[in-house]
Parts: sequence; C-alpha cells; structure tokens
Amino acid sequence: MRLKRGQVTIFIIIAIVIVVLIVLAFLIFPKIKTTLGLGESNPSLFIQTCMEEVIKDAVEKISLQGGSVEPGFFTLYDDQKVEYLCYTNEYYKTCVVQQPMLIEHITREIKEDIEDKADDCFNSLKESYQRQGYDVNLKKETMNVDLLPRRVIANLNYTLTLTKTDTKRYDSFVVVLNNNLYELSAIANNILKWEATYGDAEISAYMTYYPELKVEKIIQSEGTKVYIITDRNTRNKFQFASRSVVLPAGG
Amino acid sequence: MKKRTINLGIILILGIFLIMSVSASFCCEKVKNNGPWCQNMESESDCDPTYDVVPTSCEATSYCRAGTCIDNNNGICIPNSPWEACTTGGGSWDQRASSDIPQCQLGCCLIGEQAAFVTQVACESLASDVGQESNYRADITDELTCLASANPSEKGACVFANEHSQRDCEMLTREECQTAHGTAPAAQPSQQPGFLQNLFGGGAQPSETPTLEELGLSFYPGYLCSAEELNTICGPLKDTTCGEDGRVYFRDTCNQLGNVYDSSKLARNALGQWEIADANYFTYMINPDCTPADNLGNSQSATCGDCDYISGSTCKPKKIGETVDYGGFICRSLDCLDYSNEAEGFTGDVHPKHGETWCANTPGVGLITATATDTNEDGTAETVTITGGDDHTVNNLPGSSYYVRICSNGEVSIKDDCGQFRQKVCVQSNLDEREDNIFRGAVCKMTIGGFACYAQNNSADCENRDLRDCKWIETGYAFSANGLINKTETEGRTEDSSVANGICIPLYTPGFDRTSDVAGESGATCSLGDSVCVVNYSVPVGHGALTGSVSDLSLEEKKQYCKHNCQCLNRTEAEITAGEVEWQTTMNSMCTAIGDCGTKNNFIGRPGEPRQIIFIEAAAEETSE
Repeated sequence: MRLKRGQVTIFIIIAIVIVVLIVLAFLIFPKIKTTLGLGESNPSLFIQTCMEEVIKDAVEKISLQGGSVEPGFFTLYDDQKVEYLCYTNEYYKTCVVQQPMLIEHITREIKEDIEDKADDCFNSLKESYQRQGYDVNLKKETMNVDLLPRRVIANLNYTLTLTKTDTKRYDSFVVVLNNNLYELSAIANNILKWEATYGDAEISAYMTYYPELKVEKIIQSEGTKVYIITDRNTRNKFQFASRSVVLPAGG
Repeated sequence: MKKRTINLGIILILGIFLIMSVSASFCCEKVKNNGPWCQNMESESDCDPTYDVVPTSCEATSYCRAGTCIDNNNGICIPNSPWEACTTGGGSWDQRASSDIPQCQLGCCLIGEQAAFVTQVACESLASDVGQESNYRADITDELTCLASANPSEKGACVFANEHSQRDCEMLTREECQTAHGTAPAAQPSQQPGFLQNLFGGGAQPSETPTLEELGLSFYPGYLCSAEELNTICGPLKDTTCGEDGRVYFRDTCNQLGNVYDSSKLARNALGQWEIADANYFTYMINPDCTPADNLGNSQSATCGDCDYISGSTCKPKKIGETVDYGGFICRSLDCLDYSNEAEGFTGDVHPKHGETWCANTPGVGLITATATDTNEDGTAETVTITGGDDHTVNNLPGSSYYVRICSNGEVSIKDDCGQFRQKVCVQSNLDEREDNIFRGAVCKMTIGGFACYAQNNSADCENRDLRDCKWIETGYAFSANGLINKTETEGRTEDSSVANGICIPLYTPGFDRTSDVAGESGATCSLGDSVCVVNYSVPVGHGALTGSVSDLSLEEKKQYCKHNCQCLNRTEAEITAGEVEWQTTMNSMCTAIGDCGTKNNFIGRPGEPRQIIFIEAAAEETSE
C-alpha cells in the first residue's frame, strides 16, 4: 500500500516537472510555436501575428517622436526625441508648420519602418514552409499602409505560392492593428492650426469635447512646448513639440 | 529729471536695438543639418545650400510665404505652411488664408450617430473609412451646434437567426440591423411599438411572433432583446456594464444593453437572489427616472446608474470601498477625490471639482497670499487671487514658474505652464456666483514688468496697475544709467536735484535665461542694481596705525575718522543687535528685486553659482585737523 502511494507521488512529481519544463520552454523560446508548425498552417495568421508586433512597435515609436522614425529637428523631453511640428526661431512670431501633411507623413514613416521587417516575416514564413518540404515561391510586389479611424492597416502585396502535393497561392496579406493614431494625429493637426495661427492652443477644450482624451502642454526652455495627447482608455499617446509666439525673458 | 528720463530712454532703445540686432537677415528655405523649414537666420552659412537662400526676410520670399497646405485626401487645411514641405508631402499649396479657401470651410459631418466639425472632403473620407453614408451640413458653422446635431437613429431589438438557427438578438439601429444581418422585410406597423408609446406604458405588442422561416430577421424599435414577447435566447439579467454614453446599464444574457441600471426595478427573493420586479423595464427601452434632485449625476449612487458627465459623473468599474446594490459598475464622480493640497485650499472634504482650474503652489512661487481687483473686458471689476505675492525675497525666486492645474475626469494635471522667467503669472477667481459655493477658474496672465517698471521714478506712476505690474519701494536710492544712486549723496552735488527717493520694481520679479543669454540681457538689466559707495575719511596727521591703507584701520577707527558716506561702513555688533542693517544687505535687497540678480537662493533653496559683494578700499586721504 505504502509502495503504491510512493509510486503515485513519483508520477505526480514527474508530471509536474514535465509541465514546468514545457511552460519554461514556451516562455524562453516564444517562437517555438512557429517551429512546431502552429502558425504556418495559415500563412495569413502567421503574417498577422508577426507583423502586428512590428507595426505596433513602429506606431508606438513614431507616436512618441512627433510622427517620425528619425526626427530631424527635435527637442529632448524625458530623454526622448520629440520632433518640432511647428517652429520659429524668432520672438513674437507665429510658427511655421514643419509637417503640414502630418497624416500622410506618419503613414509614410510607418511604411518605411516596417518594410524591411515585413521581408523578415515573409522570409521566416518561407523558410518554415521549406523545412516542411514545400516548394515555396515568394514574390514581393508593393506595400501600402493606411492610417484610418481606430486602426492601422498594412496591405502587403506579396505573392506566396506553396507547392507540395497540390499548389496554394496567396496574393496579398492584410494586417490590421487596432490603434487610434489617426484620431490622435487629427487632434495634433488641430493643435498645430492654433499654434500656427495664434501661437498657442487651449487644451482644456479638447478634453471637454473628447472626455476620453487627456491633453497636456509642457513648457520647455526657450519657449518650446511639448504637447502630449493620451487616450485615457488605451493609453495610446502622441507627442510633438512646437515653438510659437515666444516672448523674450526678463519682461 | 529730464536727463534721467532720457538716460532710461536710451537704455530702452539700446535694449530694443540689441534684440533687433540678433534678428535675422537671411531667409533659409531649410536650415542646415536637417533643421526646420523657412527660418530667418543671421548668416547664409546657417542655411542648407541645397535649398533656396535669399538675403531678406522670409515674408518677402516666394518660397517661404505663409500659405495654406491642403491635404486633399483627408480634407485638412493647415495654415502657415511652407510650399516645399507641403508639396513634397503630397499636398496642394494655396497662398490664401484657409478662411478664404472654399474647400477649407468647415461644416457639420453627420455619420450614423456621430458628428464631426470638419471640411466636406474630410467628411467624405471619414464616411468612406467607416463604410457609412455621410450627411454634410455646411449651414452649421460652429462645433458645439454640430456635436449637438448628432441625431441617434432609431434603436431597437434586431432579431436574427444565428448559426445554430436560434432567435438571437442585438440592440442596433434599424440601419445597422439591416447592414449587419441582411436586408430585413420591415416589420408590420402593429409589430413596431413606438418608443414614446412604450415610454408611457402603452404601445402595441407584437401580436404574433413571426417565425424565423417567414422573416429570417426582424427589427423591433423600442424593444429590448430581453423582451419576453420577442422569444429570443436572451435572458433579461446577467449583470451591469458601462454604455458608450457613460451611464451604467443592465446587460442581458446575450451581452446586449438593457435600460439604465436602477436597483428599484429588481427585488431579492426568499433565497436572497435578485429577481425582476418591473417586467416592463426589461421589455421596453425606457428612460430612467431614478435620479434624485440633490445628486443629478448620481455620483457614487448605489441604486441608480444614470450618470451625467455634465453634472460630474461617469460609469466606472466599482472600486474597493464603493457600494452598489447590484452589479460591478457605479457612477463615479469625475471630481478629483484623491487630491489634497492644503496650500491650494484642498483639505478635508474639499477636493477639486471636475473642470475646475486653479493656481498651483509650486516651489519658489509661494502660497496664495494676495488678492487684487482686476477689470474685465466689459469693464466690471473682479476680485482675483494671485499666487506668489510680491515679496521677492521668498517668492518669484530664480527657476520658479507659475502653473495652472486642472481636475479632469478624476485626474489632476498641469493645464498651463505659465512659462519660465515668470513673464506670466497665475490668477484665479471663483466662477461660482452662488453664495458659499466655490468653483475655481485660473489662467496665466501676462505681466507688464521689467523696464516698464524700472523707468518709473515716482510711486503714483509706478503703481498704476492699469498700465503696469510694479511696486514702489522707498529706499533712498534711485535707478540710473550707472546703477543705483543715493538721493542724499547726490543732493547738492549734481545738476539734477530731483533724484527719486525710491525704486520701481516688478511686482513679480522676472527671471532671465542665463543659458542662452546671447544679448547679455540679464547683465544689462541687473546692472541697474550696481552700486559704488566712496567713503571719505579724515585721518589725523601722524596717526600711528595709518600706513597708507584704510584696511589697517579698525572698524571703530573707520567710524571715528569717517566724514562722508559713513552709512556704507560695516555695522558693529552692537549696531546689528540694535537692528541696523549692513549697507551691502540693503543694496543686495534692491538688486535682487530687479530680477534674477544679486545674491539669492533659487526656487529649491540652493544658492546657485557663488557670488559675493566685492569691496575695494582705496587709500585714505591723509588730512590734518
């Protein structure tokens, strides 16, 4: 009886150890699920999973840096490069808008940032199918990014042909990221209109009209203002700098 | 008097000239090293040579004229945009102001239940993005009217056959119902009870529930999915949740919203479980009537979920310590209940209200100490509280700034930073005219100080608050082109006998940006507080201790032999004990009142760069008596 109880205990311990090892393996090697073939059964799902993170990272970086991957003319806020979207180097003058086509600019920046990484995703998909004995033909054509209300959409026009016993062809892949960068940049555009016309923007009006938004205006040295627009629900954030109608110090 | 005014005038003109001299003379279409577009720069070498450069101001060039950039895809018009940046980005540039460009005119864009105040192109773009028809109203010319025009479409229960051929249901508009589940034959009028009829308890009931085979889909305006008559799979009560309008709603077992949460519509049975007490409330869409007169937003109410944003509440998940009769959501107050700051007047049960703005008590600015009367645009007087006060030794210290705080949606944040160097200060007043009620409103107010103060030589002009924000101190000294001069000392010794008996200083001591003070503005301003005091001694011939330097004299001997400007000598311990103040302390006090000048601590109590008053003692004049 005692021997039986001992055997049961050993089996339980072995089972626990196996479960822990499996969990650890998934935690340490997150890509294990793709190598096990869980993702490649559906190439669109694989690309959505792979690219969603890529687009998310790009959107987050661009949002915090004023709409650019590599801000050209920026101020430092919290050790972060924040691009000037409106700027004048003079006193008393309203600023000149530096990115008048902000939404188009952001769209282009996202596209440029994710382009190489998209190739990486497709290449790993290709390699994975090749390992499974498929004859893979991957052809890259064009790629478009659309910044739309509540979402960012990437249309990846890659043609993927998989041949084993039969042939399957995928002509394009659509990746959707739920994000309200469009709405945040629309608010940024509105703030820019005020900055360029009157030299300042009244941020409480935005919070009254859009209670889900938090808009902050941080004054930096030499009259620079950093605007931070935050969605209170998603915590998505867009920040940019402006210098407009600056008064000289000392009264 | 005249001469002094002229001197100060010259200082002013020189100051303006100095500022003008740093202004630019080359218009760079693009500043070098990937700098900004269209800036006036001092030197051609500051410009990117691959773009246009002309030795004139940007306003006079063709490539940097102010114009409007039109984003034709998104219908956005951005003013003050450079031609190159606009066209390179794919926009079209127009030299007219956006108010003069027809396609930049704003109107009201109605899409479904939403409204936005945008251009017609933007409206069409938005509608296409969300896949709905738009209704553009150019006759609505302000945003508030537009937002109020968002007219909810008729809502009701959309009954359809789900994948298991069951009568499923969603709460939708008629249009959404048709879009989401296919074009439905309109239900017979007798099967469509009007919303108003239901509201008042009447209205025809659906006499016969049509079969799924017959209709496939039906829309019942004014009905809830949980209505028993509709015979759907949705049970009346699962829990509560937040609606898009910020109110707490009952939710049915299909996760569809019911009416606004009202615990009086429920009752506990013998087992202590909740049961429906008012069947109508779980059948028809009915407006809530649970709001008491003394709590219009039902803030923190355990019984009623009719939250009201305007009254200061919105639906939120219940927190520990909060109580509701049923469900997990509550009308949470939008006031900042967690915020307290004694110096700002928020102690005990007094918390900032949603939308309230007030002046922050920040280091170096000081407590709220002063009140003043301000004149509104309509000429009426208003009492405002000014932060900081006017004691420059403890307030308005170097590095300090004024801030306006705001309470919004339960969170306190900085609404406005009045800027470095205290060019603007924070003023606040009570916006609630009801007795014993307080609702603070604060703004950053521009101050007129600096040279507008220093140039005044009498107390009446100095303290004319309609023109400037200054105060007069009777010090016996006056500002001059050479720094501070003593009235007593100059009397009878200069042509101008009308040296002022005091100085006019800014009410809010201004600061200077010493890190980028190219024009030496801080030095020029602070030099107004320079002071030289020449002390004359009359030392008897043959005085044993005298070897040619006054330093050899003891303080007692200096006082003994001093003939002129003896007030500048150091005080003895006995004099200090008697309350006399050292000359250099008096002078430093005047100097520090000018701005971030002299020896004083900054806003966090640090002395900053070490500075000291330097004494150079000249050889004594040896005389015989």
